[in-house]
Amino acid sequence: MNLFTIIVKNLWHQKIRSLLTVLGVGISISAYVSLRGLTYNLEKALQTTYKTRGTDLVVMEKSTLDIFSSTIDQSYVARLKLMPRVQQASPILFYFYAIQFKQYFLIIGWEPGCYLLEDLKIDGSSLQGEHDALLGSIAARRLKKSKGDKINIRGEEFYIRGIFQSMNMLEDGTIIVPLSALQKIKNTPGKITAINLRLDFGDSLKMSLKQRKYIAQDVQNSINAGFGDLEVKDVQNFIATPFSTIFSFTWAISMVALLIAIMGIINTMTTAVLERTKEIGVLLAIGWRKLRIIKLVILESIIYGILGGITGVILGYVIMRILVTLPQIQGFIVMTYDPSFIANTFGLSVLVGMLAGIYPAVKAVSIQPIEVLRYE
Amino acid sequence: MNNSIILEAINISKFYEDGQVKAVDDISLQVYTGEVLIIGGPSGSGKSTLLHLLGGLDLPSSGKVYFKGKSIQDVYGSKGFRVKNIGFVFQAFYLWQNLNVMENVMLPLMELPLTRRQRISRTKEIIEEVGLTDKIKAQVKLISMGQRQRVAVARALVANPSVIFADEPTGSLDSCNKENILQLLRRFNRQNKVTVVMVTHESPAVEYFDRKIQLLDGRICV
Repeated sequence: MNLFTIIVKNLWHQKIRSLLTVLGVGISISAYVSLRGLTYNLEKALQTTYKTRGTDLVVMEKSTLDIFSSTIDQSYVARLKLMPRVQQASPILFYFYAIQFKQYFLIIGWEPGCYLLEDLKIDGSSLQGEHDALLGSIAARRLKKSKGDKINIRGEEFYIRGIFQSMNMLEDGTIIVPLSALQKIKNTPGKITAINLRLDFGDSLKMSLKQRKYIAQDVQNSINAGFGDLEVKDVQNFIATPFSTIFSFTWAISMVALLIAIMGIINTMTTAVLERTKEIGVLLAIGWRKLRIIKLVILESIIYGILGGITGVILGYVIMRILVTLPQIQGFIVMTYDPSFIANTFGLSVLVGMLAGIYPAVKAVSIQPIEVLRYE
Repeated sequence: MNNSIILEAINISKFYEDGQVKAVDDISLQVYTGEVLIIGGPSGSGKSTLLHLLGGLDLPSSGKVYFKGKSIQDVYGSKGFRVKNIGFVFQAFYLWQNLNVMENVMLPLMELPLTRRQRISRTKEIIEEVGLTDKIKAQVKLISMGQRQRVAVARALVANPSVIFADEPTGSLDSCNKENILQLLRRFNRQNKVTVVMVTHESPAVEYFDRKIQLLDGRICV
Protein backbone atom coordinates (compact mmCIF):
# COMPACT_ATOMS: atom_id res chain seq x y z
CA MET A 1 0.00 0.00 0.00
CA ASN A 2 1.11 3.53 -0.71
CA LEU A 3 -0.49 6.98 -0.76
CA PHE A 4 -1.94 6.28 -4.17
CA THR A 5 -3.82 3.23 -2.84
CA ILE A 6 -5.41 5.36 -0.11
CA ILE A 7 -6.35 8.04 -2.64
CA VAL A 8 -7.94 5.58 -5.07
CA LYS A 9 -9.91 4.03 -2.20
CA ASN A 10 -10.98 7.48 -1.00
CA LEU A 11 -12.28 8.35 -4.47
CA TRP A 12 -13.99 4.98 -4.83
CA HIS A 13 -15.54 5.27 -1.36
CA GLN A 14 -17.44 8.40 -2.45
CA LYS A 15 -18.14 7.35 -6.03
CA ILE A 16 -20.97 9.76 -6.78
CA ARG A 17 -19.18 12.75 -5.28
CA SER A 18 -15.97 11.86 -7.09
CA LEU A 19 -17.82 11.42 -10.36
CA LEU A 20 -19.66 14.73 -9.99
CA THR A 21 -16.43 16.53 -9.11
CA VAL A 22 -14.63 15.02 -12.11
CA LEU A 23 -17.58 16.00 -14.32
CA GLY A 24 -17.60 19.53 -12.89
CA VAL A 25 -13.88 19.93 -13.46
CA GLY A 26 -14.25 18.25 -16.86
CA ILE A 27 -16.91 20.73 -17.97
CA SER A 28 -14.74 23.66 -16.86
CA ILE A 29 -11.70 22.22 -18.63
CA SER A 30 -13.81 21.54 -21.72
CA ALA A 31 -14.81 25.22 -21.76
CA TYR A 32 -11.11 26.05 -21.58
CA VAL A 33 -10.27 23.52 -24.30
CA SER A 34 -12.96 24.68 -26.69
CA LEU A 35 -12.35 28.40 -26.19
CA ARG A 36 -8.58 28.37 -26.02
CA GLY A 37 -8.39 25.56 -28.55
CA LEU A 38 -10.28 27.52 -31.15
CA THR A 39 -8.18 30.65 -30.72
CA TYR A 40 -5.01 28.57 -30.52
CA ASN A 41 -5.89 26.77 -33.75
CA LEU A 42 -6.81 30.07 -35.35
CA GLU A 43 -3.51 31.63 -34.36
CA LYS A 44 -1.53 28.62 -35.60
CA ALA A 45 -3.44 28.52 -38.89
CA LEU A 46 -2.84 32.21 -39.49
CA GLN A 47 0.84 31.86 -38.71
CA THR A 48 1.19 28.99 -41.17
CA THR A 49 -0.64 30.92 -43.87
CA TYR A 50 1.40 34.08 -43.54
CA LYS A 51 4.72 32.28 -43.26
CA THR A 52 4.13 29.97 -46.22
CA ARG A 53 2.81 32.82 -48.32
CA GLY A 54 6.02 34.71 -47.72
CA THR A 55 4.54 37.77 -46.05
CA ASP A 56 7.14 39.31 -43.78
CA LEU A 57 5.46 42.49 -42.56
CA VAL A 58 1.92 43.78 -42.32
CA VAL A 59 1.18 47.51 -42.45
CA MET A 60 -2.04 48.84 -40.95
CA GLU A 61 -3.51 51.98 -39.43
CA LYS A 62 -1.73 53.14 -36.31
CA SER A 63 -3.34 52.64 -32.90
CA THR A 64 -6.38 50.68 -34.06
CA LEU A 65 -7.83 48.00 -31.79
CA ASP A 66 -7.55 45.27 -34.41
CA ILE A 67 -7.07 44.88 -38.13
CA PHE A 68 -10.81 44.99 -38.82
CA SER A 69 -10.90 48.56 -37.48
CA SER A 70 -7.96 49.63 -39.67
CA THR A 71 -8.47 51.90 -42.68
CA ILE A 72 -5.57 53.31 -44.65
CA ASP A 73 -5.13 55.07 -47.94
CA GLN A 74 -4.29 52.88 -50.94
CA SER A 75 -1.72 55.39 -52.12
CA TYR A 76 0.66 54.06 -49.48
CA VAL A 77 1.06 50.87 -51.52
CA ALA A 78 2.98 52.63 -54.29
CA ARG A 79 5.11 54.54 -51.81
CA LEU A 80 5.99 51.41 -49.86
CA LYS A 81 6.90 49.56 -53.03
CA LEU A 82 9.62 52.14 -53.61
CA MET A 83 11.30 51.46 -50.30
CA PRO A 84 14.54 49.49 -50.22
CA ARG A 85 14.18 45.76 -49.48
CA VAL A 86 10.44 45.80 -50.26
CA GLN A 87 9.87 43.21 -52.97
CA GLN A 88 6.07 43.07 -53.00
CA ALA A 89 3.33 45.22 -51.46
CA SER A 90 -0.19 43.82 -51.73
CA PRO A 91 -3.19 45.76 -50.45
CA ILE A 92 -6.03 43.93 -48.74
CA LEU A 93 -9.53 44.97 -47.80
CA PHE A 94 -11.81 43.12 -45.38
CA TYR A 95 -15.58 43.23 -45.28
CA PHE A 96 -18.06 41.17 -43.27
CA TYR A 97 -21.35 40.75 -45.09
CA ALA A 98 -24.40 38.49 -44.95
CA ILE A 99 -24.79 36.90 -48.37
CA GLN A 100 -27.98 34.91 -47.83
CA PHE A 101 -30.17 33.82 -44.93
CA LYS A 102 -28.10 36.01 -42.59
CA GLN A 103 -25.02 33.85 -43.12
CA TYR A 104 -22.05 36.10 -42.59
CA PHE A 105 -18.92 35.79 -44.66
CA LEU A 106 -15.57 37.49 -44.61
CA ILE A 107 -15.10 39.00 -48.04
CA ILE A 108 -11.52 39.81 -48.95
CA GLY A 109 -10.46 42.26 -51.61
CA TRP A 110 -7.13 41.43 -53.31
CA GLU A 111 -5.58 42.82 -56.46
CA PRO A 112 -5.82 40.26 -59.29
CA GLY A 113 -2.39 38.79 -59.95
CA CYS A 114 -1.00 39.65 -56.50
CA TYR A 115 1.42 37.27 -54.79
CA LEU A 116 -1.18 36.40 -52.17
CA LEU A 117 -3.08 34.37 -54.77
CA GLU A 118 -0.04 32.29 -55.66
CA ASP A 119 -0.43 29.49 -53.13
CA LEU A 120 -4.18 28.99 -53.37
CA LYS A 121 -5.19 25.68 -54.91
CA ILE A 122 -7.91 26.82 -57.28
CA ASP A 123 -10.36 24.52 -58.93
CA GLY A 124 -11.05 26.77 -61.91
CA SER A 125 -9.21 29.96 -62.76
CA SER A 126 -7.99 32.97 -60.80
CA LEU A 127 -9.44 36.47 -60.64
CA GLN A 128 -9.50 38.15 -64.04
CA GLY A 129 -12.35 40.63 -64.41
CA GLU A 130 -13.95 43.18 -62.10
CA HIS A 131 -16.90 40.88 -61.34
CA ASP A 132 -15.02 37.67 -60.70
CA ALA A 133 -15.05 35.93 -57.36
CA LEU A 134 -13.22 33.02 -55.79
CA LEU A 135 -14.98 31.01 -53.13
CA GLY A 136 -13.18 29.14 -50.39
CA SER A 137 -14.22 25.47 -50.24
CA ILE A 138 -16.11 25.94 -46.95
CA ALA A 139 -17.83 29.10 -48.22
CA ALA A 140 -18.86 27.25 -51.39
CA ARG A 141 -20.29 24.43 -49.32
CA ARG A 142 -22.19 26.84 -47.09
CA LEU A 143 -23.59 28.76 -50.05
CA LYS A 144 -24.13 25.57 -52.08
CA LYS A 145 -22.31 27.16 -55.00
CA SER A 146 -19.81 25.79 -57.47
CA LYS A 147 -17.60 27.30 -60.15
CA GLY A 148 -19.56 28.94 -62.92
CA ASP A 149 -22.38 29.97 -60.55
CA LYS A 150 -23.13 33.54 -59.59
CA ILE A 151 -23.43 35.23 -56.22
CA ASN A 152 -24.83 38.56 -55.24
CA ILE A 153 -22.91 40.74 -52.84
CA ARG A 154 -24.76 43.88 -51.80
CA GLY A 155 -26.49 44.25 -55.15
CA GLU A 156 -23.43 43.43 -57.26
CA GLU A 157 -23.40 40.17 -59.14
CA PHE A 158 -20.17 38.15 -59.21
CA TYR A 159 -19.18 35.23 -61.38
CA ILE A 160 -17.54 32.38 -59.49
CA ARG A 161 -14.29 31.70 -61.36
CA GLY A 162 -13.10 28.97 -59.04
CA ILE A 163 -13.26 27.26 -55.69
CA PHE A 164 -10.04 27.43 -53.70
CA GLN A 165 -8.38 25.64 -50.86
CA SER A 166 -5.96 27.58 -48.70
CA MET A 167 -3.53 26.48 -46.01
CA ASN A 168 -6.04 27.27 -43.31
CA MET A 169 -9.69 26.52 -42.86
CA LEU A 170 -10.36 30.11 -41.81
CA GLU A 171 -9.46 31.36 -45.28
CA ASP A 172 -11.45 28.51 -46.83
CA GLY A 173 -14.54 30.11 -45.36
CA THR A 174 -13.97 33.42 -47.18
CA ILE A 175 -14.83 34.94 -50.55
CA ILE A 176 -12.11 36.71 -52.54
CA VAL A 177 -13.06 39.44 -54.99
CA PRO A 178 -11.00 42.11 -56.79
CA LEU A 179 -9.99 44.93 -54.46
CA SER A 180 -11.57 47.65 -56.62
CA ALA A 181 -14.89 45.78 -56.70
CA LEU A 182 -14.98 45.46 -52.92
CA GLN A 183 -14.08 49.14 -52.51
CA LYS A 184 -17.08 49.94 -54.70
CA ILE A 185 -19.39 47.65 -52.71
CA LYS A 186 -18.22 49.15 -49.42
CA ASN A 187 -18.33 52.60 -50.92
CA THR A 188 -14.78 53.28 -49.78
CA PRO A 189 -12.85 54.08 -52.95
CA GLY A 190 -9.09 54.34 -52.48
CA LYS A 191 -9.28 52.87 -49.00
CA ILE A 192 -7.85 49.56 -47.85
CA THR A 193 -7.52 47.63 -44.58
CA ALA A 194 -3.83 46.75 -44.65
CA ILE A 195 -0.82 46.08 -46.85
CA ASN A 196 1.11 42.80 -46.88
CA LEU A 197 4.80 43.20 -47.54
CA ARG A 198 7.16 40.58 -48.86
CA LEU A 199 10.78 41.60 -48.37
CA ASP A 200 13.80 40.99 -50.56
CA PHE A 201 16.50 39.27 -48.50
CA GLY A 202 18.83 38.70 -51.45
CA ASP A 203 20.37 35.24 -51.24
CA SER A 204 18.21 34.12 -48.35
CA LEU A 205 19.72 30.63 -48.29
CA LYS A 206 22.96 32.08 -46.99
CA MET A 207 21.19 34.34 -44.55
CA SER A 208 20.54 33.36 -40.95
CA LEU A 209 17.18 33.86 -39.28
CA LYS A 210 18.77 36.52 -37.10
CA GLN A 211 19.97 38.43 -40.17
CA ARG A 212 16.50 38.23 -41.73
CA LYS A 213 14.97 39.55 -38.53
CA TYR A 214 17.49 42.37 -38.49
CA ILE A 215 16.60 43.40 -42.06
CA ALA A 216 12.86 43.16 -41.34
CA GLN A 217 13.36 45.30 -38.25
CA ASP A 218 15.27 47.83 -40.31
CA VAL A 219 12.42 48.12 -42.85
CA GLN A 220 9.94 48.29 -39.98
CA ASN A 221 11.86 51.16 -38.40
CA SER A 222 12.06 53.03 -41.70
CA ILE A 223 8.29 52.77 -42.26
CA ASN A 224 7.50 53.75 -38.68
CA ALA A 225 9.79 56.77 -39.02
CA GLY A 226 8.56 57.84 -42.44
CA PHE A 227 4.81 57.20 -42.11
CA GLY A 228 3.40 58.65 -38.93
CA ASP A 229 -0.11 57.26 -39.33
CA LEU A 230 0.95 53.69 -40.11
CA GLU A 231 1.91 50.81 -37.91
CA VAL A 232 4.10 47.94 -39.09
CA LYS A 233 4.15 44.53 -37.50
CA ASP A 234 6.06 41.39 -38.21
CA VAL A 235 3.87 38.36 -38.83
CA GLN A 236 4.37 36.95 -35.34
CA ASN A 237 3.09 40.12 -33.68
CA PHE A 238 0.49 40.75 -36.30
CA ILE A 239 -1.27 37.44 -35.76
CA ALA A 240 -2.25 38.44 -32.25
CA THR A 241 -3.53 41.85 -33.38
CA PRO A 242 -6.48 41.04 -35.66
CA PHE A 243 -8.09 38.86 -33.06
CA SER A 244 -6.81 40.61 -29.97
CA THR A 245 -10.33 41.33 -28.72
CA ILE A 246 -11.49 37.77 -29.33
CA PHE A 247 -8.29 36.37 -27.80
CA SER A 248 -8.65 38.55 -24.69
CA PHE A 249 -12.30 37.65 -24.35
CA THR A 250 -11.77 33.92 -24.73
CA TRP A 251 -8.76 34.11 -22.41
CA ALA A 252 -10.87 35.80 -19.73
CA ILE A 253 -13.71 33.28 -20.07
CA SER A 254 -11.34 30.32 -20.03
CA MET A 255 -9.68 31.69 -16.90
CA VAL A 256 -13.11 31.91 -15.25
CA ALA A 257 -13.71 28.31 -16.33
CA LEU A 258 -10.43 27.25 -14.70
CA LEU A 259 -11.31 29.17 -11.56
CA ILE A 260 -14.62 27.28 -11.42
CA ALA A 261 -12.66 24.01 -11.76
CA ILE A 262 -10.37 25.04 -8.90
CA MET A 263 -13.33 26.02 -6.71
CA GLY A 264 -15.04 22.71 -7.47
CA ILE A 265 -12.03 20.70 -6.32
CA ILE A 266 -11.49 22.92 -3.26
CA ASN A 267 -15.12 22.35 -2.28
CA THR A 268 -14.90 18.57 -2.67
CA MET A 269 -11.52 18.24 -0.99
CA THR A 270 -12.45 20.52 1.91
CA THR A 271 -15.60 18.47 2.48
CA ALA A 272 -13.54 15.27 2.31
CA VAL A 273 -11.00 16.62 4.80
CA LEU A 274 -13.78 17.70 7.18
CA GLU A 275 -15.37 14.25 6.91
CA ARG A 276 -12.05 12.58 7.68
CA THR A 277 -11.10 14.86 10.55
CA LYS A 278 -10.90 11.99 13.05
CA GLU A 279 -9.00 9.71 10.66
CA ILE A 280 -6.49 12.45 9.89
CA GLY A 281 -6.26 13.21 13.62
CA VAL A 282 -5.39 9.55 14.25
CA LEU A 283 -2.77 9.57 11.49
CA LEU A 284 -1.15 12.57 13.15
CA ALA A 285 -1.47 10.88 16.55
CA ILE A 286 0.22 7.70 15.35
CA GLY A 287 3.07 9.72 13.95
CA TRP A 288 2.36 10.59 10.33
CA ARG A 289 4.31 13.69 9.43
CA LYS A 290 2.36 16.74 8.29
CA LEU A 291 4.19 16.60 4.95
CA ARG A 292 2.73 13.16 4.27
CA ILE A 293 -0.78 14.41 5.06
CA ILE A 294 -0.21 17.37 2.71
CA LYS A 295 0.97 14.96 0.00
CA LEU A 296 -2.09 12.78 0.54
CA VAL A 297 -4.53 15.67 0.13
CA ILE A 298 -2.74 17.41 -2.73
CA LEU A 299 -2.24 14.16 -4.66
CA GLU A 300 -5.94 13.38 -4.34
CA SER A 301 -6.69 16.86 -5.57
CA ILE A 302 -4.31 16.39 -8.51
CA ILE A 303 -6.05 13.12 -9.40
CA TYR A 304 -9.30 15.08 -9.63
CA GLY A 305 -7.49 17.56 -11.88
CA ILE A 306 -6.11 14.81 -14.14
CA LEU A 307 -9.41 12.94 -14.41
CA GLY A 308 -11.18 16.26 -15.00
CA GLY A 309 -8.53 17.09 -17.62
CA ILE A 310 -9.11 13.85 -19.51
CA THR A 311 -12.88 14.36 -19.39
CA GLY A 312 -12.47 18.02 -20.33
CA VAL A 313 -10.23 17.41 -23.34
CA ILE A 314 -12.60 14.77 -24.74
CA LEU A 315 -15.65 16.93 -24.04
CA GLY A 316 -13.90 20.05 -25.35
CA TYR A 317 -13.11 18.43 -28.68
CA VAL A 318 -16.67 17.12 -28.95
CA ILE A 319 -17.93 20.69 -28.36
CA MET A 320 -15.49 22.06 -30.93
CA ARG A 321 -16.58 19.45 -33.45
CA ILE A 322 -20.19 20.49 -32.95
CA LEU A 323 -19.29 24.20 -33.16
CA VAL A 324 -17.41 23.91 -36.44
CA THR A 325 -20.45 22.32 -38.06
CA LEU A 326 -22.87 25.09 -37.07
CA PRO A 327 -23.79 27.05 -40.22
CA GLN A 328 -23.65 30.39 -38.38
CA ILE A 329 -19.98 30.09 -37.56
CA GLN A 330 -18.74 27.52 -40.00
CA GLY A 331 -15.64 28.80 -41.69
CA PHE A 332 -14.80 31.31 -38.96
CA ILE A 333 -13.36 28.74 -36.63
CA VAL A 334 -10.97 25.94 -37.30
CA MET A 335 -10.33 22.64 -35.60
CA THR A 336 -7.14 20.65 -35.41
CA TYR A 337 -5.74 18.15 -32.91
CA ASP A 338 -2.52 19.62 -31.65
CA PRO A 339 -0.59 17.29 -29.29
CA SER A 340 1.23 20.22 -27.70
CA PHE A 341 -2.07 21.95 -26.89
CA ILE A 342 -3.47 18.73 -25.41
CA ALA A 343 -0.27 18.23 -23.39
CA ASN A 344 -0.45 21.82 -22.15
CA THR A 345 -4.07 21.30 -21.11
CA PHE A 346 -3.15 18.21 -19.11
CA GLY A 347 -0.32 20.15 -17.49
CA LEU A 348 -2.81 22.85 -16.64
CA SER A 349 -5.21 20.25 -15.18
CA VAL A 350 -2.44 19.04 -12.87
CA LEU A 351 -1.75 22.64 -11.88
CA VAL A 352 -5.47 23.23 -11.25
CA GLY A 353 -5.54 20.16 -8.99
CA MET A 354 -2.39 21.22 -7.19
CA LEU A 355 -3.61 24.76 -6.55
CA ALA A 356 -7.01 23.48 -5.45
CA GLY A 357 -5.37 21.08 -3.01
CA ILE A 358 -3.45 23.74 -1.09
CA TYR A 359 -6.30 25.03 1.06
CA PRO A 360 -7.71 21.59 2.03
CA ALA A 361 -4.16 20.38 2.73
CA VAL A 362 -3.51 23.32 5.05
CA LYS A 363 -6.88 22.63 6.65
CA ALA A 364 -5.92 18.96 7.13
CA VAL A 365 -2.60 19.63 8.84
CA SER A 366 -4.13 22.27 11.06
CA ILE A 367 -6.19 19.50 12.67
CA GLN A 368 -5.13 19.03 16.27
CA PRO A 369 -5.39 15.32 17.15
CA ILE A 370 -6.33 16.19 20.70
CA GLU A 371 -9.24 18.34 19.55
CA VAL A 372 -10.79 15.66 17.37
CA LEU A 373 -10.04 12.68 19.60
CA ARG A 374 -11.04 14.29 22.88
CA TYR A 375 -14.79 13.89 22.50
CA GLU A 376 -16.12 10.49 21.60
CA MET B 1 8.10 -5.29 34.31
CA ASN B 2 11.38 -3.87 35.54
CA ASN B 3 12.22 -0.86 37.63
CA SER B 4 13.38 1.45 34.83
CA ILE B 5 11.12 4.42 34.27
CA ILE B 6 9.90 4.83 30.72
CA LEU B 7 7.53 7.72 31.35
CA GLU B 8 7.57 10.30 34.07
CA ALA B 9 5.20 13.15 34.76
CA ILE B 10 6.36 15.81 37.17
CA ASN B 11 3.76 18.13 38.66
CA ILE B 12 1.69 18.27 35.49
CA SER B 13 -1.51 20.25 35.35
CA LYS B 14 -3.94 20.98 32.56
CA PHE B 15 -6.29 23.93 32.82
CA TYR B 16 -9.08 25.01 30.51
CA GLU B 17 -11.07 28.21 30.23
CA ASP B 18 -8.35 30.44 31.64
CA GLY B 19 -7.71 28.18 34.60
CA GLN B 20 -11.33 27.91 35.66
CA VAL B 21 -11.42 24.18 34.88
CA LYS B 22 -8.62 21.97 36.18
CA ALA B 23 -8.74 18.71 34.22
CA VAL B 24 -5.43 17.49 35.65
CA ASP B 25 -4.20 19.04 38.84
CA ASP B 26 -0.54 18.76 39.82
CA ILE B 27 0.01 15.08 39.13
CA SER B 28 3.38 13.38 39.43
CA LEU B 29 3.60 9.86 38.14
CA GLN B 30 6.13 7.26 37.01
CA VAL B 31 5.38 4.53 34.50
CA TYR B 32 7.76 1.59 34.53
CA THR B 33 9.02 -0.25 31.49
CA GLY B 34 6.91 -3.30 30.71
CA GLU B 35 4.07 -2.66 33.12
CA VAL B 36 0.36 -2.40 32.47
CA LEU B 37 -0.88 0.69 34.29
CA ILE B 38 -4.58 1.29 34.62
CA ILE B 39 -5.82 4.83 35.10
CA GLY B 40 -9.28 4.60 36.58
CA GLY B 41 -11.81 7.03 37.85
CA PRO B 42 -15.31 8.31 37.18
CA SER B 43 -16.28 10.33 34.12
CA GLY B 44 -14.75 13.80 34.14
CA SER B 45 -12.02 12.84 36.59
CA GLY B 46 -9.32 13.77 34.06
CA LYS B 47 -8.08 10.29 33.17
CA SER B 48 -8.26 10.76 29.37
CA THR B 49 -6.59 14.16 29.66
CA LEU B 50 -3.79 12.59 31.71
CA LEU B 51 -3.37 9.88 29.06
CA HIS B 52 -3.17 12.49 26.30
CA LEU B 53 -0.57 14.44 28.26
CA LEU B 54 1.50 11.30 28.83
CA GLY B 55 1.20 10.35 25.16
CA GLY B 56 2.27 13.78 23.95
CA LEU B 57 -1.05 14.46 22.22
CA ASP B 58 -1.52 17.48 24.44
CA LEU B 59 0.85 19.74 26.32
CA PRO B 60 0.51 20.40 30.05
CA SER B 61 -0.33 23.91 31.23
CA SER B 62 2.44 23.42 33.77
CA GLY B 63 4.87 20.65 34.68
CA LYS B 64 6.86 18.31 32.45
CA VAL B 65 6.51 14.87 30.90
CA TYR B 66 9.63 12.84 30.23
CA PHE B 67 9.91 9.88 27.89
CA LYS B 68 12.99 7.75 28.59
CA GLY B 69 14.47 10.75 30.37
CA LYS B 70 13.86 13.25 27.56
CA SER B 71 11.23 15.98 27.63
CA ILE B 72 8.35 14.83 25.43
CA GLN B 73 8.07 18.39 24.10
CA ASP B 74 11.60 18.10 22.69
CA VAL B 75 11.22 14.67 21.09
CA TYR B 76 7.57 14.96 19.98
CA GLY B 77 8.35 16.50 16.60
CA SER B 78 11.45 14.49 15.80
CA LYS B 79 11.15 12.29 12.73
CA GLY B 80 9.74 8.84 13.38
CA PHE B 81 9.60 9.32 17.16
CA ARG B 82 5.89 8.73 17.57
CA VAL B 83 5.68 5.80 15.16
CA LYS B 84 8.63 4.02 16.74
CA ASN B 85 7.73 4.70 20.37
CA ILE B 86 4.03 5.28 20.82
CA GLY B 87 0.89 3.44 19.82
CA PHE B 88 -2.69 4.55 20.44
CA VAL B 89 -5.90 2.57 20.85
CA PHE B 90 -9.14 4.53 21.12
CA GLN B 91 -12.62 3.61 22.27
CA ALA B 92 -14.07 4.57 18.86
CA PHE B 93 -11.28 2.71 16.98
CA TYR B 94 -10.86 5.52 14.40
CA LEU B 95 -10.16 3.24 11.49
CA TRP B 96 -10.21 4.38 7.86
CA GLN B 97 -13.59 3.07 6.72
CA ASN B 98 -12.59 2.85 3.08
CA LEU B 99 -9.48 0.79 3.73
CA ASN B 100 -9.40 -2.91 4.50
CA VAL B 101 -7.98 -4.56 7.63
CA MET B 102 -4.47 -4.95 6.24
CA GLU B 103 -4.30 -1.39 4.91
CA ASN B 104 -5.48 0.06 8.23
CA VAL B 105 -2.88 -1.88 10.16
CA MET B 106 -0.15 -0.92 7.73
CA LEU B 107 -0.70 2.87 8.08
CA PRO B 108 2.00 3.54 10.73
CA LEU B 109 4.59 1.58 8.73
CA MET B 110 4.30 4.08 5.89
CA GLU B 111 6.30 6.48 8.04
CA LEU B 112 9.17 4.03 8.42
CA PRO B 113 11.94 3.35 5.88
CA LEU B 114 10.81 -0.17 5.02
CA THR B 115 10.44 -1.97 1.72
CA ARG B 116 6.99 -2.95 0.50
CA ARG B 117 7.81 -6.59 1.23
CA GLN B 118 8.89 -5.77 4.80
CA ARG B 119 5.72 -3.76 5.41
CA ILE B 120 3.47 -6.54 4.14
CA SER B 121 5.34 -9.20 6.08
CA ARG B 122 5.19 -7.27 9.36
CA THR B 123 1.52 -6.39 8.86
CA LYS B 124 0.54 -10.00 8.15
CA GLU B 125 2.49 -11.11 11.20
CA ILE B 126 0.68 -8.75 13.59
CA ILE B 127 -2.72 -9.48 12.02
CA GLU B 128 -2.08 -13.16 12.61
CA GLU B 129 -1.20 -12.39 16.22
CA VAL B 130 -4.50 -10.62 16.81
CA GLY B 131 -6.32 -13.51 15.13
CA LEU B 132 -7.67 -11.75 12.09
CA THR B 133 -5.85 -13.54 9.27
CA ASP B 134 -9.15 -14.66 7.76
CA LYS B 135 -10.31 -11.01 7.69
CA ILE B 136 -7.13 -9.55 6.25
CA LYS B 137 -8.80 -8.25 3.07
CA ALA B 138 -12.14 -7.42 4.71
CA GLN B 139 -13.43 -3.86 4.75
CA VAL B 140 -13.35 -2.63 8.34
CA LYS B 141 -16.94 -1.44 8.14
CA LEU B 142 -18.01 -5.03 7.49
CA ILE B 143 -16.39 -6.66 10.53
CA SER B 144 -17.66 -6.81 14.11
CA MET B 145 -16.89 -4.19 16.78
CA GLY B 146 -14.60 -6.60 18.60
CA GLN B 147 -12.71 -7.30 15.40
CA ARG B 148 -12.43 -3.59 14.69
CA GLN B 149 -10.81 -3.04 18.05
CA ARG B 150 -8.38 -5.88 17.28
CA VAL B 151 -7.48 -4.05 14.08
CA ALA B 152 -6.88 -0.90 16.14
CA VAL B 153 -4.67 -2.87 18.55
CA ALA B 154 -2.75 -4.37 15.63
CA ARG B 155 -2.30 -0.88 14.16
CA ALA B 156 -0.98 0.37 17.49
CA LEU B 157 1.48 -2.53 17.73
CA VAL B 158 2.63 -2.96 14.15
CA ALA B 159 5.66 -0.67 14.46
CA ASN B 160 6.76 -2.31 17.74
CA PRO B 161 6.35 0.79 19.94
CA SER B 162 7.62 0.98 23.50
CA VAL B 163 4.33 2.22 24.94
CA ILE B 164 0.69 1.69 24.04
CA PHE B 165 -1.79 4.28 25.23
CA ALA B 166 -5.29 2.83 25.30
CA ASP B 167 -8.17 5.21 25.94
CA GLU B 168 -11.21 3.19 27.06
CA PRO B 169 -10.32 0.40 24.60
CA THR B 170 -13.16 -1.78 25.81
CA GLY B 171 -15.74 0.98 26.15
CA SER B 172 -17.64 0.10 22.97
CA LEU B 173 -17.47 -3.68 23.35
CA ASP B 174 -19.60 -6.44 24.82
CA SER B 175 -18.28 -8.39 27.80
CA CYS B 176 -16.84 -11.21 25.70
CA ASN B 177 -14.91 -8.85 23.42
CA LYS B 178 -13.81 -6.79 26.44
CA GLU B 179 -12.08 -9.86 27.82
CA ASN B 180 -10.52 -10.63 24.45
CA ILE B 181 -9.03 -7.14 24.08
CA LEU B 182 -7.72 -7.10 27.65
CA GLN B 183 -6.19 -10.55 27.10
CA LEU B 184 -4.65 -9.37 23.86
CA LEU B 185 -3.08 -6.28 25.41
CA ARG B 186 -1.78 -8.35 28.33
CA ARG B 187 -0.35 -10.95 25.95
CA PHE B 188 1.54 -8.33 23.95
CA ASN B 189 2.68 -6.70 27.16
CA ARG B 190 4.21 -9.97 28.34
CA GLN B 191 5.36 -11.25 24.98
CA ASN B 192 6.82 -8.04 23.50
CA LYS B 193 7.60 -6.22 26.77
CA VAL B 194 5.47 -3.32 25.59
CA THR B 195 4.33 -0.91 28.29
CA VAL B 196 0.58 -0.31 28.37
CA VAL B 197 -1.10 2.72 29.88
CA MET B 198 -4.83 2.17 29.82
CA VAL B 199 -7.67 4.44 30.79
CA THR B 200 -10.86 2.74 31.86
CA HIS B 201 -13.76 3.56 34.10
CA GLU B 202 -14.36 -0.14 34.62
CA SER B 203 -12.45 -2.51 36.89
CA PRO B 204 -10.64 -5.15 34.89
CA ALA B 205 -9.68 -8.41 36.54
CA VAL B 206 -6.34 -8.21 38.37
CA GLU B 207 -4.59 -10.55 35.93
CA TYR B 208 -4.82 -7.91 33.22
CA PHE B 209 -2.77 -5.19 34.90
CA ASP B 210 0.18 -4.64 37.23
CA ARG B 211 -0.77 -1.37 38.82
CA LYS B 212 -3.78 0.85 39.05
CA ILE B 213 -4.20 4.49 39.95
CA GLN B 214 -7.50 6.15 40.59
CA LEU B 215 -8.25 9.75 39.64
CA LEU B 216 -10.79 12.07 41.16
CA ASP B 217 -11.19 15.72 40.18
CA GLY B 218 -7.90 15.71 38.32
CA ARG B 219 -5.86 14.29 41.19
CA ILE B 220 -4.59 10.83 42.03
CA CYS B 221 -6.62 9.64 44.97
CA VAL B 222 -5.44 6.04 45.19
